[in-house]
Amino acid sequence: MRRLSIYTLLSAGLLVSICFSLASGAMRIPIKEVIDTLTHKLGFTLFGNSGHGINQSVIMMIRLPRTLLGILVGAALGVSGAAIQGIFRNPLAEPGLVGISAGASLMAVLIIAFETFLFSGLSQLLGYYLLAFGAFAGAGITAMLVYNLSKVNGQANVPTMLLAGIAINAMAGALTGLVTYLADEQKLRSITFWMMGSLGGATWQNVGCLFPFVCIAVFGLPFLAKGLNLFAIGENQVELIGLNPHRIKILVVVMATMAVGASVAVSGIIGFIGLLIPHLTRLIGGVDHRFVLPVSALMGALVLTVADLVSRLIVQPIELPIGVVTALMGSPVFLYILIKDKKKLVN
Amino acid sequence: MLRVESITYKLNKRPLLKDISFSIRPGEMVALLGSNGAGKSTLMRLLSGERKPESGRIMLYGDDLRDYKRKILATKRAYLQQHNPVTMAFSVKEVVMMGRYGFKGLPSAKNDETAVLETMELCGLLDFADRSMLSLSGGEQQRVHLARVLTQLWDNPDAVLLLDEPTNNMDLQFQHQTLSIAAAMAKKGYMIIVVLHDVNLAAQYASRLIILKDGRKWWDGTPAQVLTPQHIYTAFGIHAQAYTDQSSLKTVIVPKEIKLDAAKFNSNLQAAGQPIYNLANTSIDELATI
Repeated sequence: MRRLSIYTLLSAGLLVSICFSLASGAMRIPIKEVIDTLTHKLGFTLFGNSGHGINQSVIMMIRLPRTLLGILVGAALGVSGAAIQGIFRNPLAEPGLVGISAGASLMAVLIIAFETFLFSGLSQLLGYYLLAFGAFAGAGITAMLVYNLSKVNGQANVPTMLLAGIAINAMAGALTGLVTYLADEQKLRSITFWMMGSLGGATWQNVGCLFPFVCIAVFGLPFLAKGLNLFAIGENQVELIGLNPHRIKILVVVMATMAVGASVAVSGIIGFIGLLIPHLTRLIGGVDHRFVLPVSALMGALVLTVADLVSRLIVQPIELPIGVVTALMGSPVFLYILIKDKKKLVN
Repeated sequence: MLRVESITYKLNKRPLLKDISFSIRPGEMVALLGSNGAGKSTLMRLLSGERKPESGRIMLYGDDLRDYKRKILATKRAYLQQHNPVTMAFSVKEVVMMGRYGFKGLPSAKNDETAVLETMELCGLLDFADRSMLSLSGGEQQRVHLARVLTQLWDNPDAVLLLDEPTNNMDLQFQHQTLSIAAAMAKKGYMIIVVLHDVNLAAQYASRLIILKDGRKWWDGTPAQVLTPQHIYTAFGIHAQAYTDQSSLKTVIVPKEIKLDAAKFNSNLQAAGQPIYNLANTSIDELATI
C-alpha cells in the first residue's frame, strides 16, 4: 500500500516536472499550450486549440527531446547505480565515483576523435550506436577492473574500491582532456561537456538511440532483484541458496554498464545521480531490491528532469552544466553516508 | 547419506586437509573438534562446495556433490558460516525468507510462509521480524542466519545441515537452544555437521565426535570413546579429566587450571634475582610447572 503510493507520487511528480520542463526556458510557453501541443500530437484535443506554430516547434524540436533525454539518462543512472551498489554490497559504489562513467566517456571521446579516419563511411545512426557500444565497452572494462581490484577474499573492499575509482577517474579524465585538446575538431564537444555532463545535445536521434539501452536496464535489472538481495548476505550464499552468482553478476554488470555507457555517450558524465537516487529510495522504502530497482529508475528520471530545469533557469540566460547541479545535490549525501558509516568503513 | 572419500586440500601448496574419510548416516549429528588451524572450517568449506577438494570426492546419496544441479543441491544442503556480515539494512524477516529464494518454481515453494514463520518463532525472532539487521547484536544476527538455514531445509528431512561455530556470540541459553534444535532435527533424519569449540557442548548434543589435528582425522567415535584425557591433551595441548555425569550419562571434560605467575613472562614485573624465561622455548604449560 505504502509502496503503491510511492509509485503514484513519483509518477505524478514526473508528469508535473515534464510539463514545467517543456514550458520554461528562454521562451516561456504557457502550460496550457504545452498540454495542448502534447495531446494534439497524441491524436486528441483537450483545450480546443493546438497552439502557435513557433511554440509548437520549440516544444517538439528542442524541449521534448531534451526532457526525454533527461528522463532516460536519469532512469539509467538511477537503476544502474542501485544495481551496482547491490553487487558491490555497498551504498558508495556509484558509476561516477568508481570510474565507470569516466571509462565510458574516454571511449566515447576516443571514438569521436578517430571517427573521421576510421569509420567515415558510417551513417549517422550507425555512428551513434558505435558511440554507445564503445562507451559501453569502456564502462564494462572499468567496472570489471574496479570489481576485481577491490575484491579481497571474495568480498568487495570499500576503501580499495574508492581508491581504484580515484585512480581511474584521474587517468581517464586526463586522457579525455588530452584527446579533446589534441583533436581540434568541431564535432568534438568541449571537455566541460564530458566532465560535467549536459543534456544540451539532445536530438530525437540520440533519444531514439539511447531508448533501447535504457529500457533493457530498467526492465531487465528488476528480474535480478532477488539475486542482488542475496549478495547482501555474501556471494557464496547466493550459490548455496540455489541461484547462479556468476550469471547474476555478469548480467547486472552488462545491463548497468550498457545503460551508463550509452547515457555517457550522449550526455557526458552526470555525477552523483547513481549515488543520490538509490540512497533516497532506500530511505523512503527500505533496501529490498525488488523495490529499490524500479523506484530508483522512476526517481532518477524525476530528479534529473528537475535538475535540468534548475540548471536552465537558475542563471538565465546562461545554462549551468547539469553536473554542477547534481553534484550540489549529491555530494552532501556522499558526505552524509561517509560520516554515518565511518566506523564500518575502517573496520 | 554423506560420504567423504579421502579428500585432500592444499592452499598455496600448504596442505590443509590430508586424506580425510568418513561417512554420516541420516539421523546423525556429528561435531567436528580440534584446535585453531586444525582444518575444521576448511573441511566445512569443502562440504559446502565453496572450495573444491584437490583429490578425493564428497558423495551425497551416491552422487558426487559436483554433479548435483545447483537448485537441487540447495534443497539438500545448507551452510551456516562463521561470519555472516550483512551490509544493507534488510529486515530480519527478509533475511530469513532469503533461505527460500532458490525454490521459486519448485513444488516446495508453497511451504515458504510456513517455514519462515515457524523458524522465526523457533529462533525467538518474531518480535524482531521488521527490525533492520544492522540494528541487531552479533548474537541476534547469528540467530537470524540460523533461522535462514533452517528455513532452507525446513521441508526436507534427508538434507545435510552444516553449522560452523553456530554458537558464536550467542548467550548461554541460545547456545543450548541452538544445539538442541540441531539435535532434534537429527532425530527426524537430518544429517548435522557442526564445528564447535566447546567440547562439553559437543559431548552433550552430538551423537558422534570427530577430532581433527593438523589437517588429519585423529579420532572418530562416540563422546565417551573420543573424549579421554590423553586425546584431549594430544589434540588441544591441555590437561583435562573426563567424567561421566551420573544423571545424564554424558561425558564431561574438566580442564585443569593453569596457574601462572605474571613475573615469569613480564620482565617489568620481575623482582631482582628472579630468573627470566624465554617464551620462545618454554611453553605456557611448562612455565606453569616451573
